[in-house]
Amino acid sequence: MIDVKLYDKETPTWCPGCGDYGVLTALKRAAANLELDPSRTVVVTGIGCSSKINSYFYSYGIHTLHGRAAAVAEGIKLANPDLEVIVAGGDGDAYAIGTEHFVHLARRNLDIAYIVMDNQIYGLTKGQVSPTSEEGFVTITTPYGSPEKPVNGPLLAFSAGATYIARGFSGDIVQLSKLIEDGIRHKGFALIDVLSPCVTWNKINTYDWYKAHSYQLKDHDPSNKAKAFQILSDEDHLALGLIYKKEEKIYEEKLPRKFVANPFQNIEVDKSIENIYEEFL
Amino acid sequence: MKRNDLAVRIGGQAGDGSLATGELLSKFFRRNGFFVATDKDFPSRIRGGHTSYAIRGAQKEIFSIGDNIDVLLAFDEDSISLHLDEIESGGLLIYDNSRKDMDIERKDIRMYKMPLANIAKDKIGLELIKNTMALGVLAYLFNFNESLMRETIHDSYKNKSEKIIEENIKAFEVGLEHAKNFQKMENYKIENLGVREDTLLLMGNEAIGLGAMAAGCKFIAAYPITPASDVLEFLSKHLPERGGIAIQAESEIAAINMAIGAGYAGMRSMAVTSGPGFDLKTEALGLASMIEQPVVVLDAMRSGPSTGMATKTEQSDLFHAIYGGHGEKPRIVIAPGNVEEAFYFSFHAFNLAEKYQVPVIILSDELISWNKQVVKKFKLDGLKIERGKIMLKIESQDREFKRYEFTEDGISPRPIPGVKNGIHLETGDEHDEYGHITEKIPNRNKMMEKRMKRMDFMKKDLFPSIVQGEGNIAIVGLGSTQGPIMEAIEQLNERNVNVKYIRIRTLSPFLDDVKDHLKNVDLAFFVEQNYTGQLENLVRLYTGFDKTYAIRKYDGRSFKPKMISSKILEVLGK
Repeated sequence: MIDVKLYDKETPTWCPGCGDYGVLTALKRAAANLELDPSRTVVVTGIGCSSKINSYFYSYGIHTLHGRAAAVAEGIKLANPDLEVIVAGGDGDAYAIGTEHFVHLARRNLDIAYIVMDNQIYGLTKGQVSPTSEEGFVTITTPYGSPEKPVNGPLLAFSAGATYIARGFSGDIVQLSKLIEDGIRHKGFALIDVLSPCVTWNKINTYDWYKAHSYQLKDHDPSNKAKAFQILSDEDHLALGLIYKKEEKIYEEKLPRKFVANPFQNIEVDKSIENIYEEFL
Repeated sequence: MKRNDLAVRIGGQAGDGSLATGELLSKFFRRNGFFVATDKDFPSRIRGGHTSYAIRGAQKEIFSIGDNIDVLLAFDEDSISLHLDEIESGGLLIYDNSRKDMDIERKDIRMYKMPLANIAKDKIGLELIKNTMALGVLAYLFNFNESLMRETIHDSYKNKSEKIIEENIKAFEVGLEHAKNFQKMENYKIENLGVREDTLLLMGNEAIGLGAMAAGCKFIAAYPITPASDVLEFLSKHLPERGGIAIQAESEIAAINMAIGAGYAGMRSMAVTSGPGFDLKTEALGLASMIEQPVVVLDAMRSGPSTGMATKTEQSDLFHAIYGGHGEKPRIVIAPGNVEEAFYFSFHAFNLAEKYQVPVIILSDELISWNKQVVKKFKLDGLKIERGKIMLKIESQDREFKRYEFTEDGISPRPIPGVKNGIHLETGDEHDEYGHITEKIPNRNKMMEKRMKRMDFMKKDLFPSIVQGEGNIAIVGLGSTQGPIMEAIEQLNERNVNVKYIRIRTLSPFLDDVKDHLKNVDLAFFVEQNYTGQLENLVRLYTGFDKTYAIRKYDGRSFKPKMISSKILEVLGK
């Protein structure tokens, strides 16, 4: 096993007590267990507190636009399938501004792991309502309580055809690192949804709140699709662990390309276009 | 006697087959040794509504369909009410009066009424085949080489069944036979000049696709949009066999971000779109500029704003392409003027993007994207791949790589993920040389300067204006207006008016040569397809030149040469 210190980079600027510290530690442990080569790993993030994670994790990283990390990651993975591509970000990125890419990445089943740090609040912009905030939730943009139902991200991924769905808690790094590790190892799209409290802006959904509202899955068969649906649909009791897993062909295998162009190969002027000229006579 | 120059407009209801007939006729013209220009005019729907397709074939090099048409092939009454006036005196109207029979007022043209649809139904049992029949009629009346026409029909349907080929050949013969009831157009002479084997007939979008593939582009992501979808369709067919990928993304935004991701991973990539899609891409273009990643984007301009007229041409995205999006960022914008140039610009766009690590926007317009022209087979031997400072291997063993190292020319070494010793972070946040996020003052200033100064260094590699003719009267334009302007200049020369034509090809960065070309000009006519005079304003901004006269058009249809030449003659008092 590789020393987790290999993956250390800058010191995080997250607030003391932020749930994302647990996610970063779990990610480093998962990487060490998998012996990920930092020079062959790309962590792709969007915008938000949690999307800063690739400033603190040593590997190739690209910190993109709000909501667009998944789309950028797809381009990277398709250009070079040998890379380990991990997307990380918050509930705003995955379940609000970037929902389209989240859903379509799941349905394409590219071999990409997506870690969503869900704190049910917008932290970086200082405390606005989030797509996963509870109905009635009071924030500075919903002073009379949010009239909207929260997005159930894992259920959304399930309906889009995700082939690995797990939920972890940043207060349980041992389990979380295992879920991330297995998600990265999983061949296909893997969602690791993480209950990751914001200690500064969300005084409701605290560590204690998550402990009280979640439970550990026991004797659950993740290949049981009907049961997985039932578990994911129960929004009052948040299941922790691997909820659903299915082996399926990945997108890269279904592409019609005869071979995969290697980005490390020298590019030459492609004279074979002359073979297409007959279409234009 | 008009010799070796024939413009035909085929009009009907959408679904009548005007476009397919036009394609056939343009192929025939190429094989007949002619140059070709085409102009599509159709509504944004599948069936119904008037559609027309103008095809001109000529011995001399042409880029536009010209002022008038010689033949109007009218399958519906709209064709006549819309295009009757366009017919050249001495020209011909062929009117399919199967559905109706309207009276037509014009004494100076020949008018042949024939119930083509009914004859097609009677003799072949297929009404739609009236199109191919009409080609038989044209072939007889204008003495086209008949066997060449048969060969063209055969080749055009060679991927279809034998039955379809037979039916079309038969329709052609029926047309030939029926035309014998009418007098030939002896005031025209169309000779078979013999095919020029070194030519191709293709539209701008296909040329852009070929240019991209020649440059080693292996990734295209796009969302279907008129008039850019052809490039996605073309590459969807041809990239897989080259190890590449064409992906129809879930949105315009997804497409550009995927292309940026692929480019970051070292694969030459592009996204193609038109105005509405380009709007959506501007945020991601800012990201590409900020993280200094190459990406090529086609904006095939169409009539706006909003959905505007989706199938009509315009040149109204100039400022948008150059400046669109928040903040200040380096970006290349190049505008090809014809199909041949579209190929070479597309090829070079990929070199420029990697060499200068910036997004490159190919600004075409609907007319270039869709216009079919006969071009010389592309010269691939003279082309060279240039990837700039891409790093596929790094010897030094620093833990983090200075991806944004300050250099003389502002361009930093660019390792792609997978390269040992190249580890770094790229971020759309302001960052230091390592890609670490920082808002410190000296760094911010140096980074802005580093990013922007490439705009000066790259000028030497960009496309200067093309200048033709001389004198103190100038015409300035860009893109597809080249076609009508060139013919307008011929008309002006016939009236002893000499003009200097300046065709601007690079919009960003703005090149210094334009100012030089305008030095001794007393009056410059700016011919452009927009309302506000974007090109004129751009030139004023960068050169201070203000002796301008605007000739603008924003109705979605291309300029006719006479619209330009007569306005110039009027202003000059000639």
